[in-house]
Amino acid sequence: MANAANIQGTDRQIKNLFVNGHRTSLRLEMAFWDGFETCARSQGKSIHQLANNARNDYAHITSSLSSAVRLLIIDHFREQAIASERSFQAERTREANPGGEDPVALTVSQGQSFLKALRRLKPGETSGRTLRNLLREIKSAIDPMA
Amino acid sequence: MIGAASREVNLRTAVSPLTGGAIRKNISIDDRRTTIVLEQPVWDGLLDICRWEGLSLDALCETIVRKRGNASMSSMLRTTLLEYYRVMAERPRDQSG
Repeated sequence: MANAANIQGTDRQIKNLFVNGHRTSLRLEMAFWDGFETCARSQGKSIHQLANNARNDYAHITSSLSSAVRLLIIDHFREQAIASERSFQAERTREANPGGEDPVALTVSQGQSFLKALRRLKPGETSGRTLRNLLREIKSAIDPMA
Repeated sequence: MIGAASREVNLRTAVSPLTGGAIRKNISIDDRRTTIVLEQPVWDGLLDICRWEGLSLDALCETIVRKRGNASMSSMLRTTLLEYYRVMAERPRDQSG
């Protein structure tokens, strides 16, 4: 089962978790398990604790634990993405306009990176890692800071 | 009387018992209308990508879904959103010059 689940990032794998003292199982895409563990490491918590937080924090949006956990992971990386984009934009603004304070605008600094990356993928080759590598490659090609 | 008004309030504020809080959208993929169910924050994220990449939601979803292989449309869209954020978060800051 583990082998089959490794073929695609979008394939789902089941793992056992302890949430609120109860043992439960969670089925997530491999890319989300990977993100979940990275997220837990960077927050210094266990995935069990994070799953518990997710269940409480996203109860107003979803009644499903897997949905709540996915939303927590997405929000974690969204915040990081925005922080990273913000500092990138601030750097550019400082270069172009020293002293000027620009309200953060998340603009098209990545251009059409996304479309380009996706068009180069073969259907079924869509593991999280493949997609991320492609996006990374294209970003460094168009990003003057890289 | 429980009428349209109260149903509207429920849809907007409460977790829908039918979809567990997920939102349905009709998306046009290869000239066919299809319904995709995702959580609101996931749709919001996909709309962010649309804004950053200058794409319509239909065009974005079409591009992603065409590459899905055996994966479900919703899985593919969620995974792509996650990976997009992860790459954005990795922007190298200390290599200018």
